[in-house]
Amino acid sequence: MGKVRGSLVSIVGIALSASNGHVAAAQGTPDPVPVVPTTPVDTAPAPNAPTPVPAAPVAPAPAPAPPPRALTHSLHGVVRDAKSKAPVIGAVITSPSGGSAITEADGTFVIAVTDDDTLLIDAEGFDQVAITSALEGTADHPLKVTLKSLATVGGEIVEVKARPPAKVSGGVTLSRTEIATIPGTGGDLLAGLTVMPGVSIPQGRGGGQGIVIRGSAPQDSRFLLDGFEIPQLYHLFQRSIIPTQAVANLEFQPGGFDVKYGKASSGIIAITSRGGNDKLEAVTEISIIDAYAVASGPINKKLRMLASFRRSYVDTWLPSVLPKEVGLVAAPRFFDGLLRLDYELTDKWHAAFTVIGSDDLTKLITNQKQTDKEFAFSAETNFVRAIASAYWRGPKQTTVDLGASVLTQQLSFTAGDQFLDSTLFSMNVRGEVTKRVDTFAGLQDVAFRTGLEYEPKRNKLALELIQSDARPQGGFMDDTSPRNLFNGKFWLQDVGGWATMEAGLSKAIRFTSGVRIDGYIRNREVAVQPRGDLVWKPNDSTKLRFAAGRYTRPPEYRDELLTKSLKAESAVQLALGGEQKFSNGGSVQLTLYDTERTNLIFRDATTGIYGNQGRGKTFGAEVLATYQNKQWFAWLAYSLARSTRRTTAQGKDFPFEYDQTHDLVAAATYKTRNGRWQFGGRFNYSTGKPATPIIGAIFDADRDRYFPISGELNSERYEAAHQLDLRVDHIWKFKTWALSAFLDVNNVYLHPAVVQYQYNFDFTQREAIKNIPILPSIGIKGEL
Amino acid sequence: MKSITVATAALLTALSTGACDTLSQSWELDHPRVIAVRVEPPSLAPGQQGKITALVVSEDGTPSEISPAIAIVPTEDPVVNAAVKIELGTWKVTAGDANAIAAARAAAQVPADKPFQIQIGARFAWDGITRDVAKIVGLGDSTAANPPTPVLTLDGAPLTTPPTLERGKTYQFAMSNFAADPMLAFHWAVSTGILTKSETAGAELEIDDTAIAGPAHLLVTVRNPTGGVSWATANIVVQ
Repeated sequence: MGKVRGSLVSIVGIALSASNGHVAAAQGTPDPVPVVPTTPVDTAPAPNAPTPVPAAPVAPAPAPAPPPRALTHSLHGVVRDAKSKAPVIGAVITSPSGGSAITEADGTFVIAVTDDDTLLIDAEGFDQVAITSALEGTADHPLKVTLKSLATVGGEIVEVKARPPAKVSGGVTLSRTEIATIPGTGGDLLAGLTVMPGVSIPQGRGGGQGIVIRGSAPQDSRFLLDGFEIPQLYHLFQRSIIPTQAVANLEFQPGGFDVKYGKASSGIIAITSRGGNDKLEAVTEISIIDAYAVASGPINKKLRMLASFRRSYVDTWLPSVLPKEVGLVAAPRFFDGLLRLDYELTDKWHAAFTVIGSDDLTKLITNQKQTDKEFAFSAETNFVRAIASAYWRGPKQTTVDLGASVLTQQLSFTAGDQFLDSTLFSMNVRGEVTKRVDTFAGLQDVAFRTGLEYEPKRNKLALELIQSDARPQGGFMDDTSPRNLFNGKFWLQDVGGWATMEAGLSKAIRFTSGVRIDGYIRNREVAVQPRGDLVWKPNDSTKLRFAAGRYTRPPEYRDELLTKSLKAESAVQLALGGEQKFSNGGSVQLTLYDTERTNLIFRDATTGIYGNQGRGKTFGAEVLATYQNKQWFAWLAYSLARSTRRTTAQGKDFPFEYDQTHDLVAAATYKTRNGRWQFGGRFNYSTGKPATPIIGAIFDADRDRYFPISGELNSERYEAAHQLDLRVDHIWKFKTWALSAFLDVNNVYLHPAVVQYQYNFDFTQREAIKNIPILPSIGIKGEL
Repeated sequence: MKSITVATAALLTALSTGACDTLSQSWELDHPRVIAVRVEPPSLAPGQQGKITALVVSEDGTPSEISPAIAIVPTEDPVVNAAVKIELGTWKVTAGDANAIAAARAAAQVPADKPFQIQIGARFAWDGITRDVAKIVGLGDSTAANPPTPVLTLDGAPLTTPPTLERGKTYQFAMSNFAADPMLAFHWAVSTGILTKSETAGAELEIDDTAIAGPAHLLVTVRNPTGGVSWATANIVVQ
């Protein structure tokens, strides 16, 4: 019998990239501690770069590592911003003796050293500096170190050797170097989010439709670029819309986030784009799916630029190589671009301008004789966001951050005779003022912060859509199902304000207390959201944190905004976390959390009208353990969670469609002593997602169509997903340049994950739709 | 029209592998199912009776006509509920008298010149399996009719005896008494080969190399907008 057969498509990406120096020139900071300009750790010296004094102690070199030296004493210090004098949180101090430390919220650190160590201090947004351990620093009189901000807002970030402390329980801040070396991410910074505990990318959503965090819906979390929301994170094939080389860093905050973030009831993913460099840099990567280029450099003494552009071309060749048996294929076409300009107005004022754009088009095409119009499908999304930001670092520890942004977004979706056309224009302004004082009302190192943001949006919308969530998940919809019809324009206005105080009760205890108030004007709702956390640090290596707060998400997802009477969905989050650092470079982080959700938006079972009658609950535990030394980098993330929903307050709990009981990621990389080879592997296991079984069907004899009979909602699960990814890197070093190559293979033992079950026409058979079973990619990169 | 769900599934199929490998298509007679249900006549005048018959196929695609094992009208209205009953082992639909139908029309706000429609739920049992079917019948109006029984043709010639079809060839099946008509819905199905244009007035059957030699079955249904349906079946032989 004739069958439409899927095809095994192994995609081999060939990446070519080249760069000629990628680090901002380091500048010494003479006061109060003499510091020495250095090159970044693990980075070959750029041509004409100043020779490190003393020589960079951990730069890769073929010579064997020096024997370990006995540690003689502890060095206490505090790191502050040279201009604002504010403590620098998360600065990483490393010594050639193997010791490392990370500054706490008050900027303090303690590290075991020998008498003649040269310590490197790295912090995001600051020039790297080096100090000698011969300087004295005790607990009572810590060594004072100041860091000078990079000349640009969010400028080039030096490659750090260890993770800065998370800003929230269970959170992680990653440099792009860490992500790029974890196997299975393909070097994609945003795809690296999947190594976080409790994080998954929803299957079957196409490109850029969000991320599942702690069993919440993708629309409950927000993605921010330079402080402003971007509507999309991925293209198809899980290509991030921002090339890794254009990203400075990424903060993953799964919950308990600061009052400055609003309109999200789950998590925040904040991306900082990278400012232009002091020297010209260019990187390009070419694969069989797409190609991109990133260029960065100075325009004049005060102005720097970074630009990137990507274009896919898989749609141009894919149909021609498909076997005849393949009836339908998605032909995705996407491109994106980013431009960032940084300008130093004065010593105190810095400004940046960022424009990001993305365009995705997906169509189903066929190479069969019989074109089935029932499968007509196309989706096009594009957006452009322009961001102007400035900050002022004034005297007396006062800072001002200002930002303004506009967004245009178009979404066009057609499936059969259903469609959605949306054009959105949004403006957004925000400002925040921070003031620090050493003491206030008996409290220590107090920071006051307050801010305001306003976002009016104009939406032009035309749609005819089946009320999809009126049917059970995986259920069948047809032309008799209830439909939503709309054609019109409307305005949405959201305004938010926040205030918070952060202070130390003692040297070991510090708290943050604040409130955020959001006004969702169209829905005539004011949401008051108190939030706070308490951090207890009994010693230098142990930290406990408790956080609690209320979070809301306005009813602006898909056609929710057509119902003015809807209130925002609300979540009360509680999190208790602990972190233990070990002197050998390891750390363990444990987080327990509970989220109670109210006002969840569901359709009424009989009227089909949206209401806030739903409830939800998520609780779980997360463990993140890391170990890092000169040769090993190991990562273990595990999440145990339970996420349920109920459609009414008195209804029965059912597993939420994004509930994931177990999620395990174990990854490790090993670098040889000469630094020429690096081997890595990643294993991932996750529970299959809940699904509603179809237990039968009724034949509509007049319309020649079957209607399924659904079983209990989300009462079964997809098959568990697990896979092993491996990667090997090799570097060839020449006199003036280096060449590196990698081989990265996803899913080496061919266990493709189930994406969805597909039923036949009368629901008597079903088949699992699975991911591509293996995805090898190779690449080469040259560095001058 | 299928749905976004189906279209999304197709998108996923395209981005994945192994999909659609084993799922049968609606033109494939490879498992037991109900093909069509006919009430003769499809719309009944007051007091008129209609017989319920289904065309079903067995595991190997062999078609047969059977009566329901049980049939009901899922309503609490006793007048309407009594419209379906079994007589001498055969389930029949009986239209009530004109007054009862007029009262039912009035209660349901159906215009007097329109038939009062009832939806019948019928369960069919054969070969040890059961299948449930919904079928609409109009009461109080006898103008609707089932289409005439299709007269099959093969490559333009009348199909009289079971034709012998060779592997590697493609055959054109059509109906001498039907042509393309937007008011009619056609559905061809077959137990061998690869059928294309299965929802048009003429279908193409390719006997590919995997076709098993021996007898096979082909059928077509024709539906009109008033609930009328007719069908034709044919035996074929693969050589």
